Amino acid sequence: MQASATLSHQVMGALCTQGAAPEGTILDQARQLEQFLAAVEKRAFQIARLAIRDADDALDIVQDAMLQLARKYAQRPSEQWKPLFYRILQNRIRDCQRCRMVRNRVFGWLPGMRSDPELEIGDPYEATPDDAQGPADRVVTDEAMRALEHALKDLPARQLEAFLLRTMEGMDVAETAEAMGCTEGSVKTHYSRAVHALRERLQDSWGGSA
Amino acid sequence: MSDQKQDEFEQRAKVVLQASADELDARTRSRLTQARHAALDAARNPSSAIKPYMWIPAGAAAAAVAVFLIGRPAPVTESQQVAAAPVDEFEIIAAEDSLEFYRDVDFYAWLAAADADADEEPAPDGEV
Repeated sequence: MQASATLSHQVMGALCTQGAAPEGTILDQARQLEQFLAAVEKRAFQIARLAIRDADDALDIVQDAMLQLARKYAQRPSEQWKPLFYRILQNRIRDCQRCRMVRNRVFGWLPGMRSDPELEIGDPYEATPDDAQGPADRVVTDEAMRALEHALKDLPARQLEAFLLRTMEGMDVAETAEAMGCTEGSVKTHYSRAVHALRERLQDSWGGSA
Repeated sequence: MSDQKQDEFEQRAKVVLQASADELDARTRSRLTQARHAALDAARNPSSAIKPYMWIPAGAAAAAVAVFLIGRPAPVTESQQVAAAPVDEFEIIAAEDSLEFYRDVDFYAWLAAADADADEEPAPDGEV
């Protein structure tokens, strides 16, 4: 906590030297930036992980997005950070997907170059989540998440983006359109199709609500 | 699909996704915190980022080095020194006489002059 406060003061100093705004405003801005990043980082990671299906790549993507937001857009009004951050995040996700596609096309025919993230087994202790829920709730949530993750896998990229930004991040149509770089009409279409497809796929495993 | 059913589905999806984000493992949470601090550090030191205009002095330095390397006269080799020698020295090099001769050329010149003087002098006894 103390480290965070120190960092906020350092960020404030740097923003002061850039001469953008009065000191009080800049202190608020530095704190706001830290709070904003702390608030979105977990959801951003999950959005990237569900799109990329690799935890390490997802962490790199989130870090890149945070760095770019801090370097280029820290002085923008804080209301603009959310769509900007998710725009950067989505661009990084697409870059990563393109890279993978090219890599698979070029090297995919080689034995041993085919990587399936689902087959990679990590450290089971590291993957164990903390016990915030009771064991029974945990099992139910884990099963529901596993089913949702499985259903999300087959969703087209744009529908997945729209669904995650709207459902997980709670963005409205306008914010989602800004983050995705498309029209509000497209967001509505992608989202509606995503929900429809997911409901069909989750009908068995989610029962009543699907 | 009724609106109520859709709302229920969206609500449940939201809860499940939020729970998955809240229950990240310790390693991931730690790495996210590190990433956040790195980003805040980048905001603190924006000068550490390479900006496009920073390439100008680097480009100028590279151009200066290129000009220096291309424009610098190449070191003169032994064969080039021979080629650049004056014509009279070239005659010495091309001559069949030994180099010993050219080393003592002043002596031989004096000797030749002395011989010539001796030929021109009258005989001591006045015979001609």
